[in-house]
Amino acid sequence: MAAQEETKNTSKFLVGSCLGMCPYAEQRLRQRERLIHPLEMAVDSNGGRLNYVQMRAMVKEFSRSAAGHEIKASDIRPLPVLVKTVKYLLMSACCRQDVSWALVYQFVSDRLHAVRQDLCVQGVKNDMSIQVYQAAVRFYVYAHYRTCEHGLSDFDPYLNKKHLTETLTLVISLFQDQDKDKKEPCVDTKRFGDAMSVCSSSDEDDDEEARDNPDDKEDANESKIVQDTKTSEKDNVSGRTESNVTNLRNPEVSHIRDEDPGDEDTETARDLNEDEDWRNLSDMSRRTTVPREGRRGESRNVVITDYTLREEAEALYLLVNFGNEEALLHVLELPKHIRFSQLVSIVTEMNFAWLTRNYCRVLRLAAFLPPLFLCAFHPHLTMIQKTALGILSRAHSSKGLVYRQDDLAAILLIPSSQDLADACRHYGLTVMKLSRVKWVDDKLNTIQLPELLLPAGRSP
Amino acid sequence: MTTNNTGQQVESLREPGGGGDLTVKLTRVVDLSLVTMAGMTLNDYLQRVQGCFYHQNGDGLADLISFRDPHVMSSRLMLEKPERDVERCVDPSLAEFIAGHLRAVWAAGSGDCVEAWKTQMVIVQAVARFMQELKEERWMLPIMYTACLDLRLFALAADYELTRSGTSKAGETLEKSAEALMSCFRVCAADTRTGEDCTKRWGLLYLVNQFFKIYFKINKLNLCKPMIRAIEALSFKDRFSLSQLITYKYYTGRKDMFDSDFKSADSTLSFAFQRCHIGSRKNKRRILIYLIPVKMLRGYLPKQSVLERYNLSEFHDVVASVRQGNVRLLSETLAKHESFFIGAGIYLILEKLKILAFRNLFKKVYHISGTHQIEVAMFLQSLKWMCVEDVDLDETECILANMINDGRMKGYISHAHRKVVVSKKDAFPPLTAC
Repeated sequence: MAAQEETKNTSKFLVGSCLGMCPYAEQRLRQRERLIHPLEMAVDSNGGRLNYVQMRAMVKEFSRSAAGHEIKASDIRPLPVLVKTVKYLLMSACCRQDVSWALVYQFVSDRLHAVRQDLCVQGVKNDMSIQVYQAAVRFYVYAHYRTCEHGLSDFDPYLNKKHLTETLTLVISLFQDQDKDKKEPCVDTKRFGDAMSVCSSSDEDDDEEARDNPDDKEDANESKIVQDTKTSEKDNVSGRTESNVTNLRNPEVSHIRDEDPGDEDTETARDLNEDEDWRNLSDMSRRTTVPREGRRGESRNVVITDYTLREEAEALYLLVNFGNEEALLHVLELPKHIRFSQLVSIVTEMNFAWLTRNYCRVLRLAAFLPPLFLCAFHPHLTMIQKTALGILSRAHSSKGLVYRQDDLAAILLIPSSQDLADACRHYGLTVMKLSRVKWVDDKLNTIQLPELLLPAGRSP
Repeated sequence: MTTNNTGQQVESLREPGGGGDLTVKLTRVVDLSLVTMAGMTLNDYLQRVQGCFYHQNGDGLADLISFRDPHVMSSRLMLEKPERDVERCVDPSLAEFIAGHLRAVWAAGSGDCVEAWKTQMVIVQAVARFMQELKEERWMLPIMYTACLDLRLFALAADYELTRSGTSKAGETLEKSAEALMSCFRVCAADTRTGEDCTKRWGLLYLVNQFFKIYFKINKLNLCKPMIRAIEALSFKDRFSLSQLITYKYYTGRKDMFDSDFKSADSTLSFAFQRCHIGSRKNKRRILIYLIPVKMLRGYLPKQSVLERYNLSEFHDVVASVRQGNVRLLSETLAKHESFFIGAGIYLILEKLKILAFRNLFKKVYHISGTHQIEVAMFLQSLKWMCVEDVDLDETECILANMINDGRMKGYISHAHRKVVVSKKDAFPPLTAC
């Protein structure tokens, strides 16, 4: 769709004139037809939902562009309004606790689709639009992880993945166009910051503040949120999926993190709250204004704290397409300063390690990734663990030999020996009592490639 | 004659040039004809066209619309609007593409490759219509070959021009050209009712090769699949001319390699390499760039002399490092010739050779230790010695486990004792057996 729109006539793009998050015509139509999403409904004093609109909470719905249907300028939102809309969606709508996450996901994902459509119709291709797209990407990545245990009725991983790859590819191609236009590959950081500050001053005053004084207080607050999120996550997410969260607390990692505690917390906060906090965007632009030299000088062992929007997009692209050789080739052709940036080089190395099935290195490096990137990596985790178990069981196949469950769990980033036992049982390996695993490879050879990919198959 | 022809055709694996070798050589013998051709008048040209058409001389007509033929030098043939003159002298079925050709000669003569490309697009479509009208005949296939080849060459030049001026994205021009080629492809592929001796399906392989060249250039290998299917479905797929077959095998072999189907890549690329004419060194070298990594992965290392003969010094250290199990040298070599390997698209395959290098390294450790129960720490030490970055016991076990899993080493690992127990007999089976 995007390609069609763009090829038509580059010079004559529509310019939107709708100044609200939802065009007036649509508001009336949906009010009349009672097509109001619970998140858009007014709430009475008891917290009950009323079946009429709360005007300021209405957001334009996605509707497929159909033949013969003329697109009116009054239905299209210009870029600043879109920025405001995305902020609303990711800061307020995502944080709603009074409705189930499935509903929130459905709402935000649909409205973001409409935002992308509006951008596309207007042919906006600048730094701001990239930021908007990238915010959508982050939401999809996060939602993929958070919603992965839900049933198909709530969440269609295929569709979400499709949205994700579509948007991510678009972001990357926009960056590539910029490379070509400017002939100097790095994003013009100054303009980047300016654009953002103009926007935030006009839209959200608190946000401006947050951007201007990133003091310790703020950091502390944010890290608190993280802990909350973590605990709530733990409650929601059972079993295997916890591994991501747990591995963050892996002693090795935390040891490394200790070197730079303040930054670490912000980082975690930033990413875990990815969906909820638009502040990222402004954070991101602040980040880009950090002089490059400083970042390069840092030692490699520190967990990655600093990366540009471009690096983020490229790294996500590699993780989403983990193990895909074409994606890897694409990264090899990137300009050197991006390819060898901390983040991208770690992710590249993970991919290279996986080429030779070096699961050990892949999983060890994964621990260095910031949380958002772990979410992107997460769908591949089970596949890697499964392959690793297969390889291990053949290589260690000897009667009477044992492999300590705890060791194995640590290598494979499986949160507890109990979960490991579950996994082994699933793949047909016998587990002895006293927390030990006995390898029986014949059994493993007989099982078919399980349909399981996290986490549907894991629950009995 | 036949060998010369093979060499000439295979030469066109490469981008431009080669196709006209034969004609150029012949005209050089009769120097006089070169002079007359280069100064050919319009009437003379049109008469020749009509003559070739009358005798159904496809090759002759092909030369007359080729840009590797001396007639394009004639300033008298550079006409912006030749339609009326052409229509007066030649058969109306031909008129469209002949007029187009003269216009393209004019555009190319004035150095406007974008205009030449646009005109050539029209020509190819006109040729497709021309072919469709002539049922049960295939003498005109050489015309299509020439028109399509010229289209691709002009598209390359125009693509460069348009990308530089920022009018279009890289590869867009080539993609549009592929659409024009598709019109010819359809005509040829649809000619199924005609008998084998005069069906236009004989033209498919040449077209498919052109498509391959475009798709590999713009990196859209997935589009190659329907092409391969079309060729594999032909009953006479093995009876095409050798030169076309070699080009076809070269590209399908590369595709197999990217799809990690190394066995099939090995056989197709070997076919291409062995049959490729001995005189076309450059093509042989091209094939080797892909054949060597594939062969190495399957356990065959190339001889030093081959690398020298084909000037593939980049592979020299790669081969040496795999042979010695020198992982450090392999990493260094990959980094050193990175741009060459990435450009050829074999970087990832060479990265996989590390597995073989590890295997040879570990084999040495095994020989040095002299026992069947080897401490994992010894392997770890060898890895550290090879400057593998922050490696530990677990990762060493992981590498060993992979090796056992792939059948490159016989034995088992005892995690509790941190030892590897290797088979007493044939602990490292030959790689070719895996």
